[in-house]
Parts: sequence; C-alpha cells; structure tokens
Amino acid sequence: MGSRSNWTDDEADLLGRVRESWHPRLVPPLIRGYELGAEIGRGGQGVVYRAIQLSTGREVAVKVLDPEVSNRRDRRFALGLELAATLRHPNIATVHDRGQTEDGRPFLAMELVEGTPLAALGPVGRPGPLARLESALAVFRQIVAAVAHAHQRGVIHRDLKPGNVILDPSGRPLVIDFGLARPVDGAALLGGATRTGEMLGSLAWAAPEQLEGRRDEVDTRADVYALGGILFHLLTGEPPRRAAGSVTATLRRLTAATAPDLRARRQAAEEAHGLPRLRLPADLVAICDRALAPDPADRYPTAEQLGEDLDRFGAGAPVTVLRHRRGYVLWKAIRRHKLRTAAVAAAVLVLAGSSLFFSWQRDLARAQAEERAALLAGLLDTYQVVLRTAVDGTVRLAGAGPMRRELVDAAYASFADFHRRFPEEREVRFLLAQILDRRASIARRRGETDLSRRLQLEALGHHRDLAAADPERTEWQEALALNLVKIGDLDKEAGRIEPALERYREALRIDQALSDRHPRDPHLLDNLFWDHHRLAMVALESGLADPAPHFARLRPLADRALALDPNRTSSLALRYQANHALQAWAEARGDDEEAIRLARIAAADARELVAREPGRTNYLQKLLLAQRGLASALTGNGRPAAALVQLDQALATAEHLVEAEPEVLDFVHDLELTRLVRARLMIELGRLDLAEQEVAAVAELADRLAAAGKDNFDYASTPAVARSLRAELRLAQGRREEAAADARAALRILRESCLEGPRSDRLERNFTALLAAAGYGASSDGTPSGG
Amino acid sequence: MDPDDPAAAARRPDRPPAPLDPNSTQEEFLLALADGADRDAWEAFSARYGTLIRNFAGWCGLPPTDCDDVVQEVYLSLLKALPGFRYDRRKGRFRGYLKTATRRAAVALRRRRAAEPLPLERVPPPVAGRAGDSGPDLDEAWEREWRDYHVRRAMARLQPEFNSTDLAAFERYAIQGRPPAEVAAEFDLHLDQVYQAKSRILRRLRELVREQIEDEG
Repeated sequence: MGSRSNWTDDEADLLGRVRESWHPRLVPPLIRGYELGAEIGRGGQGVVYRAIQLSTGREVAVKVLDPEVSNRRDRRFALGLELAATLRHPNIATVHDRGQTEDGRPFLAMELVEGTPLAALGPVGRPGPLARLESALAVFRQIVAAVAHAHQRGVIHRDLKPGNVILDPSGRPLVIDFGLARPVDGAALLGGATRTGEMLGSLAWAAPEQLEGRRDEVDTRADVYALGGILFHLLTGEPPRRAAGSVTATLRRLTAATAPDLRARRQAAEEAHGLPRLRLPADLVAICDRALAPDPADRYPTAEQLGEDLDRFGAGAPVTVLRHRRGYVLWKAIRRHKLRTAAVAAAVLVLAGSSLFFSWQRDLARAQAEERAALLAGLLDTYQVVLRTAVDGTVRLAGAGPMRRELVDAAYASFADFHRRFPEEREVRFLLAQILDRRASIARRRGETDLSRRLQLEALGHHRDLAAADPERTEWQEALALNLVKIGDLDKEAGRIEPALERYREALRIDQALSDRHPRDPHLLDNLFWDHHRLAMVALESGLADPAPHFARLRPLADRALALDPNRTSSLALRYQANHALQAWAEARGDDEEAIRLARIAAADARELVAREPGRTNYLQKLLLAQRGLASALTGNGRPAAALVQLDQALATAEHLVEAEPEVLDFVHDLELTRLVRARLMIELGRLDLAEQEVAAVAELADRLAAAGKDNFDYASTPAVARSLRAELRLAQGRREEAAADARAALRILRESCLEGPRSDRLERNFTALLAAAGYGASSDGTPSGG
Repeated sequence: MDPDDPAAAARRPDRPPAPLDPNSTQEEFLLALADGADRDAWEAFSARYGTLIRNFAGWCGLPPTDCDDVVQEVYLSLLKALPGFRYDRRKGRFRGYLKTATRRAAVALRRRRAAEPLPLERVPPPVAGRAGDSGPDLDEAWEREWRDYHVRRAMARLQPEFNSTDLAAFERYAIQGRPPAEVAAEFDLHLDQVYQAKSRILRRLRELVREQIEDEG
C-alpha cells in the first residue's frame, strides 16, 4: 500500500519528526544566552556540554535532556527538578538556570564541576586523595551532609552512586544530578534495555525496594542505602552487590535479602589489589551494615541520622546501632554467624541471648509501671527476632540443629522465670507458649515424640487461656488452632486416629471463623487449607471418616489464595499440595488416568517451587513426593517401566535432601521409602539383581531410623517392613524357604517393637499373606500348609 | 562461505549481532526473536520497538515505569503470536498486531492504575482530551509515534553513509533551522553544499523509511 508511506513526502512534517525523535546530535543545540562548547559527557538522560553563560561570563555545565527522559507528560519529574534546582549546599552541584533549547528540548545549566568521580577513586589504602581512612570518612561525612540537606528540603536523589559524586581538586566532594533520576527498578531496567549497561551501573547501588519496583516504599531510606553503598565502595572499591551477567540473574542477586559482609569483602580487596591491611572498627562496620540493611525499616530513617552516628563514631561515643536496638545486634550476629560453624554460632548466640535477658530482667524488676511496659515491649520485640531469625530462620540451614536447640532451651529457662515473676503479663505468656512450641518441634524432628507431645500439651494450656481471655486477638486464636493441629499430628503418628481427628476438627472450626472474619488474608487461607488437608488424608488413610467434603475444599482454597496474589510462593505450594492430595484420592478410587494427570500437574508445580527457592528443603521434599506420586500413579496404570524412571529422579532428590540435613529423620525416612518403592518396582519388573542391592540399602536405612526414633510408628516399623521386602524378593527369586523365614522374621520384629493400632494390624495381615504366598500357613511355627 | 577464508573471518567481527542492528530485516528480526536466548530476544525487541511502545504508553498518560511494563507486556504477547508472523507475511499484519497489542496493554494498565489509590506524590497527569480508550485521538497518536519510530530508525541507518560535515550541516540547517549562509560559514562549506547535504540526506531518509515500511509486514 503506497499511501502508507506518503507522509514522507511532506518535507516540513518529516523534518519535524526528525527534530522530535532523533537525539544523538552531531552539533550542540542552540540555547539563547549560552555559548555551548565541547561535549563533556553523555548518559541515559542526555548530553552534557561545557558552556559559557553569556550574561555572567561564567563557565557552566549544560545538560540537555532527551525528550524521552524529561517526558513532557511526567509532572512528578518536573516537580522533582524544580525542587532540586532550589538546593544550595557546598557539596551539591548548584543548578543555575533551566529552560528550553531553540529546538524545544529542556536543559539545565549547572555548576561546572571539575574533578574525579568517586567511582575512579578508592578504596582506602590505594594511593590518592582517599588513601587514609580518616580522609575517606571526612569526604563521606560531607556527602552525607549534602544528602541530609536535600532530605530536609524534600528532595530524594534516587540515583546516588560513586559516579554521581565528584571530588574536586581541593578535596571537596560534590553530589551531582539531584532531581534527575528516573525511578530505578527492575521493570525500568528491563524496559530500558537499550541502555542496559548504564542501568546496570545504577542498579548495583539501588536499594532492594527500588529494584523490586516497590515504588511506593522508595523514600529517604533508599538514599541512605545508596550512601551505605558509597561507604562500602570507599572501603572496598566495589559496590555492596555486584551487577554482572544476565539481567534476570543480576536482579535475583541484587535483591537477595542478605547484607554483604563488609569485613570479608575488604579483606578480599586487600588480597586482590595488594592493599595495606586495614582493621575496620566494629562501629563503622555496624554503621555501614545498618545503612545497607535490606529492609528499609532497619536502616537509618534519614541521611541526617546516619551523619549523627558517623559523628558519634568519630568522637568515640557509642553509635546508635549498637545502643539503640539490642535485637538488631542479635540479628546481625545471627546473620554473621550463620555461615560459620554451628557450634561457634550456638555458643555466641546463647551467651549473647542469655546475658541480654539477664540485664533486661534486672532493669524490669527495678522499673516503674510505665517504664516497665516499655521495657517489656522491647524485650518481646527482641525475643520475636530471636525466635524468627535464630530458630525459624535456620530451619532450612544444614547443621544448625544443635544451635537451635541450645538457643531455645536457654530462652525457655529465662522466660519461664519471667512468667513466674510476672504471671499477669499475657504477652509473656504467649511467648512462653511459642517457645514451648519450638522446643516441641525440635524434639519431634529428632524423633522424641513423647517429649514433643508433653511440651505441646503444656503450650495448649497457655493457648486456651489466652484465646479465651481475648477472642479478638487473631494471632492468639491462630496459635491455638496451630497448637491443636500439632498435637493432632502427634496423636496420628502414634496411631491414635480418633483423638487426632477431634483435634483437627477443633482447629478447623477456629481457622474457618478467622478466615471468615479476614477473607483477604492468604495466611489464614493457608491454615484453613491445611486443616482440610489433614482431615482429608487421615480420613482417607484410616477409613474412620468421610474424606470427600475435605478433598472438595482443597483446590478452591488454593485457587483463592493464588487469586489474592499470583506471585505468592506459598500459595503455589498450596496448589501443589491440593493436586498431590487429590491424586492420592483418585488412586484410592481406582481412577488411574486422573491420578496420572494430577500427578503431572503436581510435579510441575513442585519443580517450579524448587526453582523459585532452591535452598529450601521443604520444597525439595515436595518435589520428592510429587515424583514418587507420579511413579505410583504410573504403576497403578500398568506402566512400571515409566514409573521406574520417575523413581530414579526421586532417588536423586531424596539423596539431595539427606545430604542437606542428615540429622532430620523425616528426610532419612523419605529416602528409605523411596528406595523401598524402587525395590518393589524392580521386583515387579523382574530386575532382581538390582532389587537385591536396593533391598539391602532399605534394611540399612530402616535400622538407622528405628534406632533413632522408637516412639514414632513410621520409624519403628521400618525394620519389619524392610524384612518383609526381602521376603517379597526371595519369593520372586523362587527361594520360598528363605522367603518364609523373612516373613516370619518380619512378624516377629513387628510384635517385638510393641507397635499397636490399625496400622500395625494391617502390617501383620500383609506379612501373614506373604507367608502364605511362600507356601506356609499363617501359624508362626512355619509348618508348610501345602503345595 | 568458506570458514577458512581469511577475508571472511576478518569481515565477520565488523558485523554487529543481527537482531540489534537497525539494518536487519524484519525476517531476521523475527527469527532472532524466535531463536534467541531470553536476553538477546528481549534486547532485540526492546532496541527495535521499545521507544515506540513507551512513547505511545506515555501519551496514554502512563508514568515512565508503567510505560516500561507496557513494553514487556507487548513483548510477551508477541512471543506467543510469533509463529503466525513468520509464516504469514501479509502486508500490515505485523503492524496491526503491534498497534493492537500496545493499545490493549496500555489501556489495561491505565484502567488498573485508575482503580488504585495513589499516594499524593504520584498524582497522575491529567488525561482529559485523550481519555478515550479508542477512537481517532488514539489512532492519531499511534500513527504519530509509529512514524517517529521509522524516522528514528532510518536516521540511525543513514548516519554511516554520510560524512560528518554533511550530517552536521543538515542538522544545523534542516533541523535547527539556522540560515544556510551561517551554516556554510560555520562548517566552511559552499552554500550549494549545504543545500545538497540537506536534499541528499532527506532523499535517503525517505528511501529508508519506505523500505522499512515495505519490509515490516
């Protein structure tokens, strides 16, 4: 269609378009009142020229903005620029004038700053103006003052970085480009791929909330973060987080929620560049860490407060980070020691923790009523930090088990004492119950089921009283329900199904009421989901109740949670769990096609979960269950060879899990079960040599489990099951007598382990059937019954 | 091409990666999109159509970061529709698709934003007068941004074909509108050379724009 390009015939129009849309110019634009000279720099926002302001005769830097950047339509940008132009500070490059070029582009005439950008200087120890720590800190203090000045006038820089601070020949730092930053965030980075290099340069210095595009959270604290980055650069010569590689990988790395280790990075820089050894003072490290805290709430609220702390540090006074929030220090310690050996970490933490509590207890006893409330609030706040980071936060961490245990035991001792002294304080009581819960969980993970149950029942007393005392406290109601569920789990594991179902039902009633009251809280949906899930599965396994109504609720609940926030990983985990459970149900109903379909969906979701959080054993475990589930569905559908392929993958996942956390018996049990299923399948496929090895491996794992967890039915029954497995193999090999001997041994081990209940009965029936299949009667004396 | 041919080997590094090159044809571009690794494909797309889409979204009243979101939306939807374009190169099909996808993404995002409460600092620019989700205004804006896109790309392509004095003179005279005699003096040229630079560059610009539109599909 010729008419499509007819518009190019109109010369004036075409030239107008060139003027509008074509920026990289060969000649400087014309600006009334200025004589433009050479180009000094070119960046994402426009081109900077050296120029003479004709009215005053002074040399200035003129920045001509790309229309795209100044975006005629963006009022916020214009407002920021207007405010920035009013800033007057010895360490901020002054904006003298603003206006439009002859061809209609906006420009700024700024103080011409000659010198070296900080990006080309440092770190401390390298010859140059910033070689000494004192001089680098003096320069940094001025930069902080400049930013504080801007903050007081409502101007946020948003793109602070060593490249935007120029050190003039007299040693004075000047911050440039106030008011010019386009919002930096992940989306902007991807969108601005034509300028990827430059954007990546900015990204390394941007605060996590900017990178994640949480635009409404970007405030003065984003600049505080960037100032922390500049300090980091002065001390190490590098940004706190490196930006390199692909865009998505970079984003992931940059938004990682761990603070960089300043001392370690300094040391690495010293080794890499042959710099003199510098002992970084702990207070300075603490200041830098607080400025660089991933969560804005943990940072200095403004540059001014950062500056005040620097002054205190300079004067040798205690800095606020170390004085102000004891919980924060503890949190830091945990972060820091997380990567070292668990033993060291445990020792440090327990010491730090208990001395802290002692000092608090002393303060509290002496304090007046109103003061007491404040002290108590501080204590509880700190304790929450300990629970959440030191205990819950390390659950996924290999080797942290002993540390968790010591920490929780120490905490329990001091808190029980607290509760005795201040029995009226409900918050103390609530925390005490939470600590009991953590102790119980730790005991359970170690297979100490009875102890775990006792602790949970003790917690239940507290939870019931608290929930009755204030029915409006969602947190307390929720905790009561969770406590009930955990007791139910312990009952179920011990084979007490009816009591377990009762506990679950009570929890369900509480969680349903909570979710009805707050329908948009995904967390409450999680709880509700898990109540239904437990009821459905236990009903299905035991046959003591109807599972159908509970199964029917699973997917709608997961979908509702995902609808509230499609990116929430735990909601995705719910959907996985729903499909996985429904698959088990389909199998139980004999609907194998449906089971395979559901298993595939579940496995895909599980893979996505692991991909999103590869370090999380919890999700690895889900992947394992999904792989095994798919194998089981395929077997049920008469496709054992395909199932075996799935099981090979499952085995790899299971081994990975045990490797990650060897002390967690659940994972060992997972590995044992996976091998058991594999062995059965190999027997079925007639691959008896392979099965022989697998059976031996199962026996070994079973002994390990039984030795570690006598009170746990799953663990204690494994040796008997392993023996019966060998009987199955012998039977397939046609070695009937040996098969019968193994089946009898299985029966004997089962009886000796004193396990009772319907599951035990079922096992006994299975073993007896095996014995019969080997050609021997049900009697344990082993007389041949015929054939 | 003989891989051992030293001349060929010497030429190869001169060629920028095809998809990012403004000279690559639409066929090459779509191929790169379909075959490229995540990042390459995205960069090729963003380099070619990012500004067009961003500007149009901006015209719709979206703030810059939202405009970036629109670019991503269009990219993702294009990836899905891609096979259709590679095998059916009817005139106007691609262009129509791009327009529809951009408009849909921009309008949807604007609706979503309108439903969100805004913090005071983020008061949106007034959208009155261009508030419609369709209609002649929107078509006109798209047409304008689309033309700008072709001019931008053609200008990038013609740069290496002319010497820098001609280009500078063209800029001063044709774009900035300075008197030809002044321009001739500034660059030490004959008056004729100034006129010629303008007409030659303008002619080449037209040719390239037409060629691009022809190729666009």
